[in-house]
Amino acid sequence: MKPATDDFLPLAPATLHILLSLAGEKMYGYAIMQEVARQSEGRFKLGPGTLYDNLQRLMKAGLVEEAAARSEDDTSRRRYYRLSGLGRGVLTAEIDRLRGVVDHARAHLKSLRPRRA
Amino acid sequence: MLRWLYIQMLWAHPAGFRHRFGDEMLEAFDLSIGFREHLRLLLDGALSLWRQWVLRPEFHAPWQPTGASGPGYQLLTFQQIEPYKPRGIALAQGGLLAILLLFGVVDAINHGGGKVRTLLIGMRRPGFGLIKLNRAALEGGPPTTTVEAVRDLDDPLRPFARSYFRVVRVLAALDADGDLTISPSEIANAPAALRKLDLNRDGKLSAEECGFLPPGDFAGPARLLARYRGDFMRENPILAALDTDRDGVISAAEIANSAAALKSLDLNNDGSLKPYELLPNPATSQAAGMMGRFDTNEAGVIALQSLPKDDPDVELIRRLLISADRNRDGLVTRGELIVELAAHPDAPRQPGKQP
Repeated sequence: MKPATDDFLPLAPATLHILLSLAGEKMYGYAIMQEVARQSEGRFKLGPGTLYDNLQRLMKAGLVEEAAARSEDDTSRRRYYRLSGLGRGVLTAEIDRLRGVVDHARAHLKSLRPRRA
Repeated sequence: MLRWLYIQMLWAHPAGFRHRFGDEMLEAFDLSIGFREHLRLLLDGALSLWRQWVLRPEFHAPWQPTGASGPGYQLLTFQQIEPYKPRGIALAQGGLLAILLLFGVVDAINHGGGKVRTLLIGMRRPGFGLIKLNRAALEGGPPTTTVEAVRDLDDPLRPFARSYFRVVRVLAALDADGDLTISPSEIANAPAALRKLDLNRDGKLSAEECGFLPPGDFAGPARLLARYRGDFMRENPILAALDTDRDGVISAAEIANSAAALKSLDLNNDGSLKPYELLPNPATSQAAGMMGRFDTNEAGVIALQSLPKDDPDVELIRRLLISADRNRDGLVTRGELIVELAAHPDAPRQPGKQP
């Protein structure tokens, strides 16, 4: 039985950032770390241990899969990773969830905003 | 240094994780710049190590290469504990090292090597438990030839000599091939063999280094112990022959001269020393025992007057001692006692024992 996307929610911050990095194109490990730092404007730095621990779990869960090298010329031992269909669905569901949280928060904050005398 | 630590940390990860992600983690470490960044990655690696061993037991299964799933693959591959093959240069270096080691072993076997050689080629001397064979019965015979074992009973002294060679360590050292005979080559090699017994490296051999063992519960005066040592060096013919100055110690000069000294024991002049030429004279040993028993004031003589009176068990000994006192001075010396015991081998040696 295929797992439902909601089974994976909510995502941990590191997991969310990794899935977000892979949303655009396939990447190798160090590039994912760089992309996460760029997305968070340097506030969230992912170490290799955390990255590969998450990748290991995500691949086991079927959210991320290993991809072929970027080109024929790339003979390095780097491995590339990309989102699977399930991973893309989970990421979309998480973003929707976060959007709902943000909308709710905005509405809540609006009602709490102090009125000017 | 930090890189080395990081590599060690990677090695400490579960094999499956290490094989799958180790290279990439190290690459990320190498691409990072700055001491603080490296320190941060080291901490991250430590956390990863903890997570892998504590929180991810489901991933501890052996790693398999990508695409190694499916029944077909299982049929075509071997199960390996270590899936990575070593690099070619490592194989070449290992091969070279093995060849050099082999040459070293062969060279050590061919050109001596002391104790190393003994270890390399196994037992240097045949064990006492091994059955000696009559080789003449084997040579030229058909494959069904019955092998004859040499009977030790041919020489009634050999069973006793075996024990004696174990006790007197000098003999065990000299008899390199363990055949209970000191051959001409073993006599020639005596100085080297004796030097191996010099455990404290003082250049000479004490009674203890020659095999003397003081009684385990000995609590008497040191003077008495010294006397026992002297007796040991005097009563054993091989030690008496080596200790030419009779000082109870085989000095460096005596060790150097040992080959010549040993030849003095060769009664039949055949060049080798057999058990009957090496074993102590029973009369000498018995005399030493009696001196220890009755020379109570340690004067080196037994005073007939000092023997216990009215003791029927001692009366037989008294008769022997009176007979041994050739000069009738009332004192029996060790020499007189030995002569008497040798002349009357059936005489009583201990109180209460009839001949």
